[in-house]
Amino acid sequence: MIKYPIHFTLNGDPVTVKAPATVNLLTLLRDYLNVTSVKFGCEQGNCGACTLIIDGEAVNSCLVLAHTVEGREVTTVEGIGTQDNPHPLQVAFTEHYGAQCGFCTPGMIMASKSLLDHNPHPTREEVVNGIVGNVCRCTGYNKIIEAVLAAAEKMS
Amino acid sequence: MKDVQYFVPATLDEALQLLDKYGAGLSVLAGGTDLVRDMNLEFKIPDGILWIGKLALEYIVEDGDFIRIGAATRMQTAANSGLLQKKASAVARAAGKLASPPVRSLATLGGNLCTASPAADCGCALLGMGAEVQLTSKNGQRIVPLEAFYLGPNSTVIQPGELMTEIRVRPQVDGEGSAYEKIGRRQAMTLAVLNTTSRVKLDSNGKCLAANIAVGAAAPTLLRIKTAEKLLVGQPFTEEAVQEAANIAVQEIKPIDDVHGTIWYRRKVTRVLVERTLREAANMNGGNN
Repeated sequence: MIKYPIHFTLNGDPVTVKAPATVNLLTLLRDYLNVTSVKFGCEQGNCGACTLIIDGEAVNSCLVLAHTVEGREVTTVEGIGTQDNPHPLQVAFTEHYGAQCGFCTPGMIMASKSLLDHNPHPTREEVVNGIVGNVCRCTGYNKIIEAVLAAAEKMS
Repeated sequence: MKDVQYFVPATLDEALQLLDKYGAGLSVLAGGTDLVRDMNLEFKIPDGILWIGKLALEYIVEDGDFIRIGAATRMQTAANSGLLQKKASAVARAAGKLASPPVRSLATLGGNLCTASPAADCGCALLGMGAEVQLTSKNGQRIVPLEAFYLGPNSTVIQPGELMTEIRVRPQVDGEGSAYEKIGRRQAMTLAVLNTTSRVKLDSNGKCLAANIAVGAAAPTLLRIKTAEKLLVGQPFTEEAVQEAANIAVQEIKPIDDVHGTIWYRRKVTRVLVERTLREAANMNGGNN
């Protein structure tokens, strides 16, 4: 199968990788670049487990054809904080028990980050509407909503 | 797996040349929320992909008699557009109700029309607004009213070699409003079990000057309820008239039983949503127009 090169910025670093035309961004990150925070869930845009940020906007990476990120800036949860220096959202998710099994967490955090980037002081309802595309089967969502609201307060 | 060709034309001319050369073998990629999903699930692997993301087809401008919307305008852009919120309210509302924020930052209005789902959110809103679309090919362009655009589920009048480039909506003027409502199996991230759009223009005495009603997920294509529209025009816009229009809509739809809802339920909801959108569009209950 013919592979074509793709150049883009991943978490601040320039990346070049070759992939066939049909590969989606989720598969490109997981199978070609070993970035495994983006989770393989439904591959239909229904579950949100693969959510990441392209040029400042949250998207489902499974619905993005990898070649269309040519020249663009892709941010996954690896790019927003480290264990030593976590993002306020990551701190809030741990402090408020917003993560249980953890499968939805990277997507939840990226969807929440995009929400707070555009709306730093969301109401509870706005938080709900911001993460409405991210499915969580453990927490019942309340802990996640509390975490996002707490992070927003801390960041302001 | 077969080798799939991938094209990123930098200009509309280049895109039209490629579409002319490859015809139906090329699948147009706009937002990808349908095409990439279909590829992921191996429902459809196209021979070639033409990405239109570099063609500057994302814009919303008022220009004379029309609001012109680029076919690759994304849902979030449409939902947040002050111009659409004010002068094509149903379209902004439908765009904001589609799926979820991550999907709305990908999915496009043109894609929503071209996929031709009978339950499409923006398809229903644009049909109810009386919108028309511009189809462009190497040989020129044609304007098609949305009423004449759909042939069946996932089927439209677009010919091989043609690209949808623009959507045109007449802006709401004084005394005119529109509304979109959708019932899904849950609040968000859901396909419409039934959706409805109404656009109403009243004079200062409350007489109806113009009315459009569109209903989705109730027939093989999105439907305009022309009989009900005719009944409303020229009459005082009263609660009785609204209920009579909804009666007609309930009779005209051709719903099916499926996993999303039953015929019985769809008829019930049609009555509720047609009445609700008509009232909202006419601002009879301080609605969202």
